[in-house]
Amino acid sequence: MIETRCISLAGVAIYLFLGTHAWAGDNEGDVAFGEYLSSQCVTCHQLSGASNGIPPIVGWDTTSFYQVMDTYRQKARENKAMQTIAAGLSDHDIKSLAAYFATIETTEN
Amino acid sequence: MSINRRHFNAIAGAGALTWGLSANAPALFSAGKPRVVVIGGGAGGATAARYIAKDSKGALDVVLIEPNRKYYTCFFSNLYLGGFRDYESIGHTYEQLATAHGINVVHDWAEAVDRDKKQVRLASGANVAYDRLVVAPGIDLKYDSVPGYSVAASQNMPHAWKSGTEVALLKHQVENMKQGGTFVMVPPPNPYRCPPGPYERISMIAHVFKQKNPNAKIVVLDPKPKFSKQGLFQEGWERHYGGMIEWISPDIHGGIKGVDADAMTVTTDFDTFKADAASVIPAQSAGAIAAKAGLTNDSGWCPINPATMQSTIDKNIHVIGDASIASAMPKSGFSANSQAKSAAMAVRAALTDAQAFPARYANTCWSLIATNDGVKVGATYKAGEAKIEPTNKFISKTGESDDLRMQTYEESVGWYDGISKDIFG
Ligand SMILES: Cc1cc2nc3c(=O)[nH]c(=O)nc-3n(C[C@H](O)[C@H](O)[C@H](O)COP(=O)(O)OP(=O)(O)OC[C@H]3O[C@@H](n4cnc5c(N)ncnc54)[C@H](O)[C@@H]3O)c2cc1C
Ligand code: HEC
Repeated sequence: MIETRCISLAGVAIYLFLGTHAWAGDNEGDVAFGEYLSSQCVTCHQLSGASNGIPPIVGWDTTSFYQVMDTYRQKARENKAMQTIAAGLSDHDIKSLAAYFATIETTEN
Repeated sequence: MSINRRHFNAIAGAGALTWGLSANAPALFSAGKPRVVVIGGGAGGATAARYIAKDSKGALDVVLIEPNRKYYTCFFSNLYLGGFRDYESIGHTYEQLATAHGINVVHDWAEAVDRDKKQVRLASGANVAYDRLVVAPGIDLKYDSVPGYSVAASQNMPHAWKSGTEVALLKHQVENMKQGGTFVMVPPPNPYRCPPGPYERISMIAHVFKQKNPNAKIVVLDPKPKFSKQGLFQEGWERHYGGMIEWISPDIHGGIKGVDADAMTVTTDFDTFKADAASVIPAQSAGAIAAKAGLTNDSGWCPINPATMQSTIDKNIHVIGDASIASAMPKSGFSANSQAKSAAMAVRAALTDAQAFPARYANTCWSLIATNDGVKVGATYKAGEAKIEPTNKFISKTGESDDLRMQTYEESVGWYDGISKDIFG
């Protein structure tokens, strides 16, 4: 799963490797808080995992999710909408979002 | 509970009746759950109903009052006008709200709100009692803000600024305009629904003319000296439709004096413009029920508490979407959807033991200038002391690559799917 993600996101792969040191684990996110925050995301990203111009973000492992969000926050990955959204998120916010979205399974195939 | 619900529907259809709790007749048919009533099943109201029902997991009864059986979004109606979508692709039903979330969707008009008795009177005569009310009626048009304009005049000069079939009428008139004719557009003064909307509409009309009527002209008589994404639109108009669109600022035309829908003329201080087809979008205010309920201030819009979207006039009522005064947030479907979530959380926290987190708001407005040439503007917001305040913002740049513009357009298509599911389930 992580490998696939690295390939599809070649530009951010390096963060995934650094990430294991920079961020200890999955257990810091608060799922209920993440669910609340997720309401801001599902205007664009569908909970079903459907993708049509906007990529799916459900069912990711929390580490890659955190790292990808951080690349937007650092403006290391382009997309003005995502950069702006990520800029307003704290570490705890992102970890909570990661924890929540990890619990959702895609219903698209 | 479902038996009670069916029972209500059956009798309510038959005549005037007060549902559930009222001031002096306690819980006649109610299962005793607190009831949330939502007026208006558009981008704001349907989202609020859905989030309240979904997240309270049966602890609250949710009644949504909306006259239309199908909601045609204004968002992407410009793409329909330009031929990028068909009409049915922008229509949505309320079925999922009922089946997936148990929302009682009542197809009727809210005619009055009795704030002391906490009940809503419907056009059919029935009353619906509420513990909390969410008011999301969108806008109404101030026809008389443009002398000579009226509902009758809108037949020849459609505004097409509310959900529904009027945009199909406008499309018909655009497509059948005489060869080499002039289309005249009068955008609305601030504040109004969807700041970039009139200019996206102009782009889409130009797109149609470019294919079907290449010598046509578009004259825009704007009451405003500047407009949303101006640099991006004007660059795109020059690039794709060179010379077809003439935008005239009030500094030049001196102000709109009036329209004559029979003669098809628009008169400004400076000149009279003869149109072969036209769209006139007048000034706007909160949907009429908001003023009737006493929820508007002198501006014609509804003041709110930025943390909860509660009316500053009545704390049992939340006003969301275009009808509210959301300060820096533009009146958009995205904003209405975002505000609905904050209101839904506040309603659940007030009526159940749900936890309330600090409100966060966001908006993005995409506009299509020509095939695969999309631009966007957006921001995130927080609740300040007295107002909703921006935290971070962005806007597309002039001179961006074709690839980026195409990606931006594709994003907007994904967003339309996403928000439609988020609103209607
Ligand atoms: C041409 C155009 C393009 C647009 N493009 C975009 C875009 O790309 N992106 C974007 O985010 N926004 C866009 N918008 C703006 C968007 O459509 C509105 O901001 C949004 O619909 C506001 O939501 P709302 O819930 O406040 O009102 P609405 O969506 O208008 O919903 C109000 C509902 O309340 C109902 N209602 C009114 N009065 C009563 C009553 N008394 N009783 C019961 N029901 C009542 C109405 O029938 C209606 O269904 C566009 C608008 C236009 C006109
Ligand atoms: C305005 C629409 C919009 C909103 C709201 C939004 N996103 Fe995104 N998101 C996008 C787009 C568009 C992309 C693809 C950007 C790119 O190409 O890098 C994206 C990409 C992502 C990615 C990377 C996906 C991948 O396959 O690499 C993640 C993770 C993500 N978003 C998470 C979120 C979270 C979490 C939120 C809510 C806090 C959110 N997004 C809100 C539009 C949005």
